[in-house]
Amino acid sequence: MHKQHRVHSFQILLLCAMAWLSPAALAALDQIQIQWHGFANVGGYYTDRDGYLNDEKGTQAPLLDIGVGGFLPITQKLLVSAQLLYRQAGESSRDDIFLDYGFVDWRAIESGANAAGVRIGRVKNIYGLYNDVRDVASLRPSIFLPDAIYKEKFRDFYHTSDAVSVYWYKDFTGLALSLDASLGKLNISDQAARELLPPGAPAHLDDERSLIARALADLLQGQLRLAYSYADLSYDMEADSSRMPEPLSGEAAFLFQTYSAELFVANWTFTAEKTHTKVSLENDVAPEGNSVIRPSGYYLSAQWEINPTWRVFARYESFTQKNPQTHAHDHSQFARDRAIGATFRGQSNWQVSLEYHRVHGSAWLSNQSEGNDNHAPWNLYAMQFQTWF
Amino acid sequence: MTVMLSLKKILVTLLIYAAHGLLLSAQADDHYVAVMSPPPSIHTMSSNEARAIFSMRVRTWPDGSPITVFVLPDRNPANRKFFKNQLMLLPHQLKRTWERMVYTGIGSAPITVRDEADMLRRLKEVPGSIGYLSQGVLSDHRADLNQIAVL
Repeated sequence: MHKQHRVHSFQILLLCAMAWLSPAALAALDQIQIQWHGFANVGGYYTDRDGYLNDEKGTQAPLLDIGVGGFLPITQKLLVSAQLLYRQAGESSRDDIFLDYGFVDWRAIESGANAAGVRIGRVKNIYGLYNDVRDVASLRPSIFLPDAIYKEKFRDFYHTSDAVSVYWYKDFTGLALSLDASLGKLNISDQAARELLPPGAPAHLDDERSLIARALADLLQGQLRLAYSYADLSYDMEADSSRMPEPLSGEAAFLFQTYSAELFVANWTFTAEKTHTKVSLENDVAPEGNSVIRPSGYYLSAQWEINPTWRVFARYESFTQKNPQTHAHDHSQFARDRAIGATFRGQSNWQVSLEYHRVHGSAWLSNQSEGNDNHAPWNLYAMQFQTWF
Repeated sequence: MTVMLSLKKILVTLLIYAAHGLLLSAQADDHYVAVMSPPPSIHTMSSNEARAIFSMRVRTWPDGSPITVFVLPDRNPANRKFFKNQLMLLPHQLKRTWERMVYTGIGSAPITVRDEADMLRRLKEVPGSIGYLSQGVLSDHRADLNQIAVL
């Protein structure tokens, strides 16, 4: 059975920390107030190809995110934070309510424009410009994040970890630096695990490990952001049956490096991110099956805030993965995605977004889909109503 | 006749100076400054520190007491004047920072007040709080609040 039904050591640690803190929290209840927040994104998407977040033909599916969370300062240096999430995004999502994040945050250092601390528990992996805020409509640039960097079908592969995370921030004159790093265990959903295993493979993942870090610089009083992100992720694959015709036991390791830049000029935002990946697959029983593949991707986008009510964007993405045997581009391993979209913001806490993608290649499609050898370009339409408090 | 013309010139000149003075006074009233409610009693801070406080990255004063940050509503034009002139940040940049902290659970957003009168009232009620007011509004309340010079 997949590990998501097991209780992890970090969850036990978090529960113990919260149980220990509860008496203190209760005793100071009059002085302490939980600060609540939440969001709901309701909409849907349609494609004329099978396999986008779904195995079925002519995909049309709801897009739904509902999150409710709270932030509880225990002391000036200690706080507890948690959020529950429910998602529906085709067959790539879990379709249940789960703990999105839940951690204890201890601010070890705070002086002037300088702060540093530690978080323990389930944390959002801070990677690239948007991984940690991909569910928050007001903070992400579009309904679907660029798949070249933030693969939607792999969202639950690297979105959160049960980890120890450290953070540091310092504001200099004209420059602000921040560093985030976490070491722990990935939370890989069953759906993401399906995408990571060969189609139809009766195997499961185990011993998922993660080391994720990001260095971010805000220059020109926040008008220019530069970031470097690093992620070292690995897991073991264990075959469910010893009678497998092709043994699957082994290890997979992913090394991601992403370079990010974002420029704010008047009402325009220009963003570019590029990622290099090294995927190493080792087979315990048949080492001749070992392979290393090096996919890479990038996107360029421009967003124009016409006025406080209307915002539009245009984006170009490219993803390539060469066949390790032939070094050619197999069609299932590349994509060129041109997207445009618009957002209408009604008030300060709701908006409606529409977007259209024209895609060549099938790298965004499910590994489990039968349609991956279709060479025709395909279209993706999405619409979503988004609100938050 | 000559005396009358001279008097007319003097009167016109005085009117011009009076109008100019009123204009300057209006601009001064329109200039927003950082204001805090003691204790602690702080009168200056660096722009880095001011940015860190209004970005909600720093939660305590040097004496360890909590910082409560008040801001005006989203589209209030005073936000642009204060944030850009004093912090050299645009309102939407700060808003993104606050929202990121809230929705990733790593911090909270500042408290939004209704208007300047509400800002004044809340600052006086909460020791250790910080916000911003126009010079005109602050001028009658300097005994209770500290204007902070952002260097």
